[in-house]
Amino acid sequence: MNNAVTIEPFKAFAKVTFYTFLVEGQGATETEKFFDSFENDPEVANDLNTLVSWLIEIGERRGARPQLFRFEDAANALPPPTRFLAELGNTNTCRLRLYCVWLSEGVVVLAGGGVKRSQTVQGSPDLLPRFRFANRMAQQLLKAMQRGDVQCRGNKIIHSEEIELWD
Amino acid sequence: MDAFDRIAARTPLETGRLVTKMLDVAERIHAILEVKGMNQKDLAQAMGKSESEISKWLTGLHNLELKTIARIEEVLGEEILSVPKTRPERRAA
Repeated sequence: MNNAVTIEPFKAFAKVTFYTFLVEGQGATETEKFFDSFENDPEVANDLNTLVSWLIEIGERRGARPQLFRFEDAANALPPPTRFLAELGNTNTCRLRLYCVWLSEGVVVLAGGGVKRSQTVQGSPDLLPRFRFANRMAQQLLKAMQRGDVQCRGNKIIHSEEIELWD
Repeated sequence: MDAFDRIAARTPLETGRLVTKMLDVAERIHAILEVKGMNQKDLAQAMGKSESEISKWLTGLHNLELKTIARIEEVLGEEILSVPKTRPERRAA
């Protein structure tokens, strides 16, 4: 673990603030890099549209109810299950994953993600590092929450700028 | 405007609308069950379905057919979906 990781606001909606991770020395946050890298990729255009709709729906109207997220070891992920995406008009199986750390119904820290090209994440070499990063962050954040070092109030992390994680 | 905002701006409105409606239906069923003091198991029994199938419906991630919604309405004795009865307003050309 060599690099410090800080938490930055990403998008704030009426019910949820989405934060993201910034790794020391990187010019962009993990979530910015995710959206930048797939924005113009026709292979995942529909999946990306649905993912963004999902984030807005959670953020603006529903709140981050735990059942709306996938469990990915200590971390979580969006978008919702394949069946749902197929019914939204994606005839192909959705392979996009955006990892995150669920802290409360008002606070979610988004990480990075990628295309899942295999049944298990271990078989997707591009995605595996994102999965592992999200889990490393989740383990640290959830422990800090248990200790009371990280606290959420409403839709905000209290003193989020003071949180330092390590990768 | 960042990539997220650009993707949000280009996303067809129907995608967001469908996400909203599917979750609305699931939440409405949850609310009726709560008021009636019922749980998923009760609904499953009343409908002759497995509890796991009812559970799947109530996540809000399942695209319920109108036929299924009508059956749930009948079993619960409450309306889940309502359609405006007023005549749509004619828009100016």
